Amino acid sequence: MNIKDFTIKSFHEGLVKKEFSAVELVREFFRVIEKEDAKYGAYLRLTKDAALAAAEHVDHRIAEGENIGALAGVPFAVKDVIVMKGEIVSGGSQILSKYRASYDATVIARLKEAGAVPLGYTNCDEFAMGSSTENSSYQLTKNPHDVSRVPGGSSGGSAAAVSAGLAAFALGSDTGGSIRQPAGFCGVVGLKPTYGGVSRFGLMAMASSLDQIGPCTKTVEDAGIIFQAMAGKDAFDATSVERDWSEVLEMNEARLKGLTLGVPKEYFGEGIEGAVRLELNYAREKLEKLGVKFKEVSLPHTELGVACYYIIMPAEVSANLARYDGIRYSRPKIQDSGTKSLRDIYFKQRGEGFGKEVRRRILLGTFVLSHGYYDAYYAQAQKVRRLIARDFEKVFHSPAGGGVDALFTPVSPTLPFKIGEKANDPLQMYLADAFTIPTSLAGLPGISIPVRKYSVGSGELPVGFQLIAPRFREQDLLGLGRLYENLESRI
Amino acid sequence: MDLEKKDIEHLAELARIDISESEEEKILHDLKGILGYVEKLREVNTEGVTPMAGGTIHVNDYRADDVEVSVSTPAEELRAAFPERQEDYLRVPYVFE
Repeated sequence: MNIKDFTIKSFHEGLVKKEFSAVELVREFFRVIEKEDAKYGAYLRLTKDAALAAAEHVDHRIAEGENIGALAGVPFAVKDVIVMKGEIVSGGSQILSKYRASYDATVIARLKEAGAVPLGYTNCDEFAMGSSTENSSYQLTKNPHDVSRVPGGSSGGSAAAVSAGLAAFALGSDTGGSIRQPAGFCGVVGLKPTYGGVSRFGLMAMASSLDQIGPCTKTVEDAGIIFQAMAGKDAFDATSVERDWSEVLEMNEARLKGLTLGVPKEYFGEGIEGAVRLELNYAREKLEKLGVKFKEVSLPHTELGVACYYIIMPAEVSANLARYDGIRYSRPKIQDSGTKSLRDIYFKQRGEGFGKEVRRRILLGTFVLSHGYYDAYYAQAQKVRRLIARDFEKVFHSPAGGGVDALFTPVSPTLPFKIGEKANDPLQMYLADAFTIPTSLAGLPGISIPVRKYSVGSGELPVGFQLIAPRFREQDLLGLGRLYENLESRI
Repeated sequence: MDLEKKDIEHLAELARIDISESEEEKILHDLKGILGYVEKLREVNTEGVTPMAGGTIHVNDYRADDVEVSVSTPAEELRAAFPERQEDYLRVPYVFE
């Protein structure tokens, strides 16, 4: 059984035709992970008991002659910031190194309900703060296409696991590009849904006005299947939106081929590496052959995205991470002997339990929210955020602004960079997300699609292109993406 | 904004984070770099622009004041998830000195 080339559809067919059982499949995954993951460091820990129990249940249902759904028996990996009952979930942080979750995140509950099989937790930047997964307090994750390079981040473990064939799909979270950028770097598909599309209940909150959960998959078709299984209103996340997603996987080819994609000039400026530009041109030509039209547009406030984000996000981080006081979730370092004051315990737990980047962002957030600086920084950033969101509204909804259906951009200005290359320069690291941040600030859906089928071992470094749509137009992103990948016949 | 070392100490105090003397320098350097970079926001004319306070476009999300769904986790599982306990009580550090 070669598990690496399977898509969700082919897993399902194999199960239904009894070519293998769900238990055999999950055992084979664990065998391959244990053999190969030492090279990549994608997984932090495996959830073998939960996986085998879920797989046995699926086999039992097949044996009983039940019809199983598309996701039954499909093995997936979870970013270490999404909780699963009974499992250790650490957020990539020492401060939660012993935290065992007492409930399932809504996305986990929905995937379990659909019969999907959780293989384990993937590495990420601590509390999802980073663009290379180097900020994990546990281990480095390497890009399967070149192990001297980063997989991107923060969902680097998830992207690497899917890219190396160590999971059929994986869950990630995206605040400023943390699904799309690692997907681009690892040559897989990453979807950040519209803000409100998927419930965040059970996701460790980083910046609540931006966070979204989404899938990392081998194909666009798979991304759609996972999205549909997870999306929709959830009483536990007030920002989640009631919506009928029953048609999100339907493709009206004639309509899709008649769409117009905007090419924002601000995304194709000087900062883009030549290799990225060449691959983007290739993707554009392919889409043009399908009949899709392209139109130059302008999003004039793009250049302010990173600056705006690095005020709003740390402000929310400093508030959200106040809950990690070293008392409620786990007390990894010091045991309370009764002689230390509570105050000392807070300082020590948070000082030792959080890594460098997390501390940096908490301090930055504390600063921009502090008395005397609030208006100059935070309030001004919220206004600029509105201007960035309006740029998108204009290109999508006003004929003068372009009136386009979706946007076509690079995912990242560069190829995957070397491990350590940007580790000591936070600002350079932040700029790696310049093309994914504006979408997040505006709450729009974005998908990262590999330009070609990049095989691990070929030596080629992946490049992804990004499609951005108006709110809740995931159907167009998925449809265009599937047309593209059918053309490329990626798998 | 001329950030100084004492500002870092004050922020660390507010955020309840221990940082070492040697790390203060590095954090000061990094924050200065980041704040220098975000200065460009202050040059943007935002007169009359309403701040965008969140990601959602929904104004209010009303529902009937009934319990529709609940996460039912047995109390014992919640107690077991807490780092320290004494019988059926959760044990926390002394609040008063």
